[in-house]
Amino acid sequence: MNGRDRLERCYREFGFRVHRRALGITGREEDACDVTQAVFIRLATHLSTLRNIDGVASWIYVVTTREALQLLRSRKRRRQREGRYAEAAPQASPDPEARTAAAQQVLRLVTVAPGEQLEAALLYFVDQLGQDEIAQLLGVSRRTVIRRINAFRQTAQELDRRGLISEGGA
Amino acid sequence: MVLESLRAAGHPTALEVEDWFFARAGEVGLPGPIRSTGDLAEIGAHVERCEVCQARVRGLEAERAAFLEQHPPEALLGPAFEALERPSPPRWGRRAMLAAAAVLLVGLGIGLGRGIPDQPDVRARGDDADLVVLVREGGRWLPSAERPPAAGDEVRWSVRLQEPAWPLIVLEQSDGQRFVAWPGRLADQREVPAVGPVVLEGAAVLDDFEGREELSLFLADEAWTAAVVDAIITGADGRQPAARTVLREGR
Repeated sequence: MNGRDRLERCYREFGFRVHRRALGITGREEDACDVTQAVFIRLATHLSTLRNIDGVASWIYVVTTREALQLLRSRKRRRQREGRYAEAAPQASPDPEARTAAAQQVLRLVTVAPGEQLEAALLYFVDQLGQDEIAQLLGVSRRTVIRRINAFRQTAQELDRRGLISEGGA
Repeated sequence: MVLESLRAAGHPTALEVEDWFFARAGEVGLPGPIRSTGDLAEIGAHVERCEVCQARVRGLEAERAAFLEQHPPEALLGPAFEALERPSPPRWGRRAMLAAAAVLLVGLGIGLGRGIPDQPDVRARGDDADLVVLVREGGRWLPSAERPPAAGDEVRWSVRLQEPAWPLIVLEQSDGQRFVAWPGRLADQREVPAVGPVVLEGAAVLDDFEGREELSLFLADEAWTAAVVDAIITGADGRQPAARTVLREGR
């Protein structure tokens, strides 16, 4: 099986999951397609090293999460920068149906919480993985996972207390 | 707190059902990314007796079929197919190559003890940083141009900066994989002053990878965070290195 066939097979196997995951984070169909494309471009460059299909699944899951968060953070920050100098152009809102309530809660902090905390919080509060599972998936220690989740929790509590974040922050 | 209440008990979570669904539907017949086979069996047993979860699975089946119909491989995989045919990882495009031309290159060009006779001792100076690989031989640390590194060699990194900065050295293999070469742990990172060459703490032992390996030196005004380092390693962060060099040409 050549690289093109392998890539297509991976797409048929995982494309839906990538798109679904991306849609759950970004809330927009066009963003989910962009993330899906980006993930498979990355997969194309790594394909020769990912021999174990089980490993591919883990890798894709983490990369999809990061690509989607990166897209959200970049867009939100760009909008914040532009807002300083000009009247903000109307922006399409995320489709609330595409995100769970849990995802909306966590993603309120998309530009506030550091990326590693946000990632751990998504996996814990939204995907409801255990701390050990998150540690394995991210390749960090369980202690690190706990630290990141606790830090995210504190940030959320602090900002809630001060009323500094709004619903649907992304 | 709202966040805590989100972790409700009861039915398997959406991700658990998805994992079971993808493992069951998967052509390769291997478990999904997260759940163990035992966990999947437990989820499957629940789905078998739960109408709510069966409906969730039917929904996933329908969504998956609709997705592949709406987004067939040729619709979304075009750029990925192009990336597949490119000889080098796509993130190192034209701009990266131009930037790389402006930085110090320590041309080592010899791998695994096999010399490449016409490999020149390339030295070029960049505006912001120099990076030199030091190889240990007989208790002395020699610039790699004098002692090309090979598998099993112990190496260290020497940097010379125009401005104080926090360095991060990334090793990129020709198979596209990237690793942090320095610091060994983020806790060990430090700001390097803008004085003569500074040899960074710690050494690495080269493995027997047979492909080409390149080193990229990234600089930051503040300490590197795990998230940014992860983004550089996975390619999600597109920043350009301040210096780049070949560690080993490979076969």
